[in-house]
Amino acid sequence: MPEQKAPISDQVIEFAFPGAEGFELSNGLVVRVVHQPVLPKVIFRLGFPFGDKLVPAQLAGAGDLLAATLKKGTAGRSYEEIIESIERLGGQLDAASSPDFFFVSGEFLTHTIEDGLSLAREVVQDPVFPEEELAKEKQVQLAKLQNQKSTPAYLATRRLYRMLFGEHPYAVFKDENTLMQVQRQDLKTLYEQYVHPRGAVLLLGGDVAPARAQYLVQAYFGNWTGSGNEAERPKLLPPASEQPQRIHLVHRPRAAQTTLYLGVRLFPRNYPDYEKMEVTNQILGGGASGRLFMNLREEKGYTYGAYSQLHLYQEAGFWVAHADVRPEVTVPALETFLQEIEAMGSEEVEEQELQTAKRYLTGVFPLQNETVSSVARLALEQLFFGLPEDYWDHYLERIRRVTARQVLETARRYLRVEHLQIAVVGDADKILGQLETLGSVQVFDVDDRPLQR
Amino acid sequence: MMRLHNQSLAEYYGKLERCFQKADLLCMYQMYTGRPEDLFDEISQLEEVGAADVQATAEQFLRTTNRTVIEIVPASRPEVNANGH
Repeated sequence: MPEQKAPISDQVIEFAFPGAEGFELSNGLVVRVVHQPVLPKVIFRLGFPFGDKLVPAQLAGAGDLLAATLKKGTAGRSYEEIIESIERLGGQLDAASSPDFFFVSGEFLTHTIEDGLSLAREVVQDPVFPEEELAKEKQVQLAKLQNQKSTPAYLATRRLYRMLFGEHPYAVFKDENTLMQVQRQDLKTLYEQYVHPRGAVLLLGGDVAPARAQYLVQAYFGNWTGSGNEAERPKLLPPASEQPQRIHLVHRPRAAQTTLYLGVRLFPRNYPDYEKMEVTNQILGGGASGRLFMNLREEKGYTYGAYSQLHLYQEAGFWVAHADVRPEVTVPALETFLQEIEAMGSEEVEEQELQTAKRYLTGVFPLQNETVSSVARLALEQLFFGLPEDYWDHYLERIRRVTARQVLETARRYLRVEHLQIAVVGDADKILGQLETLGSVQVFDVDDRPLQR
Repeated sequence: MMRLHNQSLAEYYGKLERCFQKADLLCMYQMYTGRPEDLFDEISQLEEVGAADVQATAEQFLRTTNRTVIEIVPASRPEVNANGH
């Protein structure tokens, strides 16, 4: 019987960014409203230009503890009462910390959004950080950390950040000591310094018209005061210049697999080469049709999957490729990675391969951004990373315009094998000898302390 | 009951946000009832549920004679060394 294939449409999928209305309150809070009345629900995201990078290194993890304890008690309500209110309103209210930003996000029904924002006001403006809740949260974080330390992906990522960013705060990771160091007073200090309306952005999206949003925001965030002390904000130096190629091995006794992470430093998120790099990455390791996957898995059978990604922050970024491989093929797998990375910068990609990558990126984007919260995330990304106001209106077009020549130039400029930082996690007894045939190898234990081997 | 209604509404609207999920649910209703449009009646049915209905349902199904209990008793704790392995 002849093979039946579903027809593939060559239609270009368009994505129309709904557009945001904006205004600013007298206390400095910047407000954006993305009116999308598709379902009777309203979401909000309150973002602060305060990330883990501004937390003192000896208190690493304080951002997570601040986020976790923010809704654990206010001047007027206990944690149980807050949770009960959120549930009664059929809503969600959470806070999270990231390298560059701190967020409080919520989601409520159209008919409960006012009560939801009133609750958010309380949590954001009157938190008390109860001592016993902080103690409990530390235990939760310690357990999480213990769990993370048992995963090779975490061990490799931590080592790689340190290789890429050196002394820069992006390379700081919380550990048992820094978590235990954090006191209630530290949370209050961070809160007063950074969680205030000046410089913050409040985004409302979904079933909320701009006039209604204006009333709600004015009612619950209009009287909020505070501005932190600009002079006490740490001045961050850019990450130091790049290192020559290095191999670091995190020794994980009896590891059944070797985990390989290969990274190279990149530009910050707002850099104009972003879309060219996205296409380049898609061709090399963006998915199951990427060159890394096709070679390392399909052709050589070294791994179940090999992929690569971009991680771009406010001040710098990096590109990373990774795979878990059988210990005995650690070196051949590493060599295959290096060959594929070098090939990207030595020959122009075929038109078909380029089109496939661009079609994937432009096709998946509208699917990834069909919810009100994902559109809100895009709006905040534009604001916080200082992208042009109309950035999302032209994003897909920028992807479609990338040429084979530009992919070649981008790979040459950024995927420099001579600066590649290679973090390996595996059993040193099985793989150290192999790895040393490639050059000198520094060894670390699972707590990232140097080991003499 | 207010909490129950609001949570059910939030959950229901959450399911309708993505095209793929909506298609999946329409397909499910087609399979079970033959009427995909039933998906859009879910909400009015949820709104009709009262406290007495919850009680009656619990009495009907959550009976000790209708219960399975699984007890998992760990044999002993595995040894953990200094490196957490």
